[in-house]
Amino acid sequence: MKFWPSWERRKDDLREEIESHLRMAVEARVSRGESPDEARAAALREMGNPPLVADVTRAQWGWMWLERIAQDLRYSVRQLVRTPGYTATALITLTLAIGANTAIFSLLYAIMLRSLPVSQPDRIVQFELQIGPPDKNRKPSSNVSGKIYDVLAAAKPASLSGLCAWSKFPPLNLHDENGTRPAQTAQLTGDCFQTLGLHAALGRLFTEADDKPGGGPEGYPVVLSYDRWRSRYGGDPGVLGRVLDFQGKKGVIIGVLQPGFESVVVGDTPAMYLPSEVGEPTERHGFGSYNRILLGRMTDGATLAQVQAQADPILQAALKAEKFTYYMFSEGKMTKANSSHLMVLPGRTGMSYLRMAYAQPLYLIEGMVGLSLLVACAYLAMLSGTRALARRRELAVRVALGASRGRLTAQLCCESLLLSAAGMALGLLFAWTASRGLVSLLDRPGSDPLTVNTAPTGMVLVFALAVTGLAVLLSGVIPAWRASRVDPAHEIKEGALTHAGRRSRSAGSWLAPLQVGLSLVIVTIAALMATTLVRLLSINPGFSTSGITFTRADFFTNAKPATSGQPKPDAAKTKDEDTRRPASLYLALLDRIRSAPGVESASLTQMEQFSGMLSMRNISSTLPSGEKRVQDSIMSLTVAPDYFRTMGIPMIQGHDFTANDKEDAPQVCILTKSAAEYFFPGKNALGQMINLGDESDPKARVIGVVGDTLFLSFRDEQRPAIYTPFLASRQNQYLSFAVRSRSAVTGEAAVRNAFKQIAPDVPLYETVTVGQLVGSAVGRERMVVLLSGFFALLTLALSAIGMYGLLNASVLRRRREIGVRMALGASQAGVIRLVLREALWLVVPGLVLGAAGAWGATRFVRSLLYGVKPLDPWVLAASAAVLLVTAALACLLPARRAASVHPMEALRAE
Amino acid sequence: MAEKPEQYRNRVDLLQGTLDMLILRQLQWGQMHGYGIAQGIRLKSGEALQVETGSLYPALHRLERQGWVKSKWKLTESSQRAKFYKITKDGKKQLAAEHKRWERMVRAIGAVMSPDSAMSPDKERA
Repeated sequence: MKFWPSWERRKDDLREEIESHLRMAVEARVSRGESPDEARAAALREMGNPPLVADVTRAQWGWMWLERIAQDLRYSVRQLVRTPGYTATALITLTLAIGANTAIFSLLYAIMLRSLPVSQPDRIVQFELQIGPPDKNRKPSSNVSGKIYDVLAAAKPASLSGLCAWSKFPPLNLHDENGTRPAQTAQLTGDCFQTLGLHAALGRLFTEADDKPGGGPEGYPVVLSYDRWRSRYGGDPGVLGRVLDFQGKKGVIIGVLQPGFESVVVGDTPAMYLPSEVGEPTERHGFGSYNRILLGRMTDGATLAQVQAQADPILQAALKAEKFTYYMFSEGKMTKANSSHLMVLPGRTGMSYLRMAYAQPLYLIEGMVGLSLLVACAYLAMLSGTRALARRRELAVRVALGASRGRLTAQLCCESLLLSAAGMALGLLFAWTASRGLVSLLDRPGSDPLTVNTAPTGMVLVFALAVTGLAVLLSGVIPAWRASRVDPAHEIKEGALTHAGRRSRSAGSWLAPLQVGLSLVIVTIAALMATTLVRLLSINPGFSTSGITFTRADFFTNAKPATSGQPKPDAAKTKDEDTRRPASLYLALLDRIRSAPGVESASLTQMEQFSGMLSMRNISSTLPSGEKRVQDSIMSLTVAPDYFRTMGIPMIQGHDFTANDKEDAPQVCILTKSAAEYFFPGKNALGQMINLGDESDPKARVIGVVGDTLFLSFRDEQRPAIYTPFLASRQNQYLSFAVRSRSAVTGEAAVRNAFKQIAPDVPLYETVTVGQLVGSAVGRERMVVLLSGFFALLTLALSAIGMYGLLNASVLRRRREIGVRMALGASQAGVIRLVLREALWLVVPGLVLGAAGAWGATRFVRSLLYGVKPLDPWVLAASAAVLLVTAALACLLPARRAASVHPMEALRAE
Repeated sequence: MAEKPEQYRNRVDLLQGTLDMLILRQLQWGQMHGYGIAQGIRLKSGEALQVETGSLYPALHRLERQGWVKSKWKLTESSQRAKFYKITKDGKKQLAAEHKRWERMVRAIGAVMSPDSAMSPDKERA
């Protein structure tokens, strides 16, 4: 800053000018015959006070206000340094309040509000598929099929200048000298980069011409993400042309994407981008595989309604031409949807799987953290109020000398301004660290790590500034304005000896009830969420929730590395049979795992409970009476022997599958208890036959009945299920190895060692413990409980300290009155009652206020709750009790202090 | 420190237009430093007008900010360093306008105070 030195130079200049004036005046007098000393004294008398002359002259420069601010700031810094206790308390409070608000907002902003880092993001639209009539439980899905992209791209609606279908399917595995690992990729249609308006940092991006089956002559073009290029290849420009081996599919690096852009899916960080044709043709061009996000760019001037009007008829025509009907899940079963529509939505913020689950919790927490900010501000206002009270006499003197009220307010505000500025700086640091922790709370174990950019820039910074401004206003300006209303005559005359007769209703006495009220709201919400979490976790899911690990293996892809021979043509891989491994391989793997030290049992499945997947089929039974019992959408799992023992699912009747239940053996199945009761009511299901489909389909003998389990989450209803032997199945080979072992580490090691020895070419995914699965099933609730608990504690602490300060000050002020009462015979208990009564005056209105607030606020959390009502009387009573206890703790010291007042001393002090 | 400047400013306000005009007038015949201006006014007015330093310098700096005078450090005849002020073109225009206004005011006040219009409604001060 260049301003300050030049300002000082000007000040020097002025001083010199006035000095020269004085010198000339002295000289003139001396030349008239006065002695130098006399001359100087006379000239000075004539001039007045030189610094004052300089002061009033400087006022003409028009920068006086700045100088005053500098003065005020210096004064405030001195005051703050002199009271380190106050400064530290205020700073910590502000840091937490501003930091917490900013942290939550940065997460909320990143997930809900931030525009995609593409050119003109508000021209982007997203297409969603509405299957069946829309209702509360049937929202349009953002996952659409590749065929929808194909028909839209072929028809080219006039309102769209570009389309983009974005997918993470199929998952690709990268084979290199370090082995075979799942690669984080995104598969995009060739026009994606152009539609989004993205550029290459190096090389080129692929285009529509590159997006064809088999890729180019050298392989599929691969674009690296900027981060991947820097971290894996050290930013080497020579990376272009390098060949990658996606287990038989060759890829060649043609470019590096611009920094800053990662994915249209918020939180995803693909390392590479490949053309969509790298996937299986059925997956890529089918109507029925919902694995793509479809975006478009509107032409200038086009509206959402126009796009809607043009796009949906294209889908309708295509469905008609192809005679295709979508199925929908309705009343527990799959039925044909009579209508399906393409819905056009704004796509500015991209797409996020987190939004649906976390929008409400995030807004709820933002609301709570906002309330905490108010509590913190009330606390600080009380603090600065008492500080101003202590300076009342000084302020009165200054008013008597003619200082304006605005000037006093400005100076008093200066402190809170300084504190808030420092609090904001620290708060931003706090937010930056805290928001990373928050992101990890959202992370789902076993899936790709979530990367949400919560850096305090742009909007987040603006938000932090606004929050800080609010804090300054509430905790600084308003109390300062109140404090600056002093009556000098009264104040100076009576000064510190004034005693308020009755309870002084001025500073803070309405802030404390407000704090108590806001705290009650937060504590109630925290208590409701904690009750919800406890109720959810006390549900028995039907399997054991500890001691199991799951490790996924991908047997599906062709494991033969491309380098060891000529790549297999893609077409040969479309059938499962070509890639199926012999049953003996799985059995050998399981044997090897079971024999590892520390392993109790091991099995494998295609879909374990709580994995987030559902697989259903239709089965039926025919009763001896001729009655047919049908279940259209029964949960269907294929498992290897020992699955129930490993999972801790009780075997109620019959026995488990064995290694002999193979394809050529008679078909068998195991039913859950509820399924057995449904299909064979009032009979022993064991030995009965189930139709795997209709009566004409093959039948399977029921060889066992097992306990029911939950499949999706604790909130899920219990679904009947059928288990069929894995070794007899012909389904895909994306398998999960379940191991019951002494510890998660031994479980994981057993699987990895077995694969290393027997199937080193099969890529393994991250190991997930059953505890993590269960934890992530209540992840949303856990996050809300953690955060609301934190804010509840924070606001309770602030309220307690604030109330303590208020009561303590009141006891000090009423010392003489208490002394008189005791001299007149009041007991210690009576004095304590006096203090308690004053405390009740703060708490009771607060509780009433808080109860009203809780009544209003808890209705917003209704849908997050489980097993508890928003206005549960027990929870409300417990929350109020917590506040009462807090208040009691806050009165403890002031009451003791009041009781220990010695009447004689108190009176003599007068 | 809050209060004394107020008192000064009040006096400056009282004199403001007039003092500015007097200063500009002094500068019409050449550049001069603050002390010289004050002395000039004192002498010209026959010792009747004493310009206080606390009014002179704020006025000079105000005039400079308006762009009516310019300042420069120079040596006096007695080889003292002093800040010299010089009237600008705008300053001359301002002086002419002020002068005209002043003359009108003097005429008007003279007319009111002349013996033929003796009935002045204002109370006289002691």
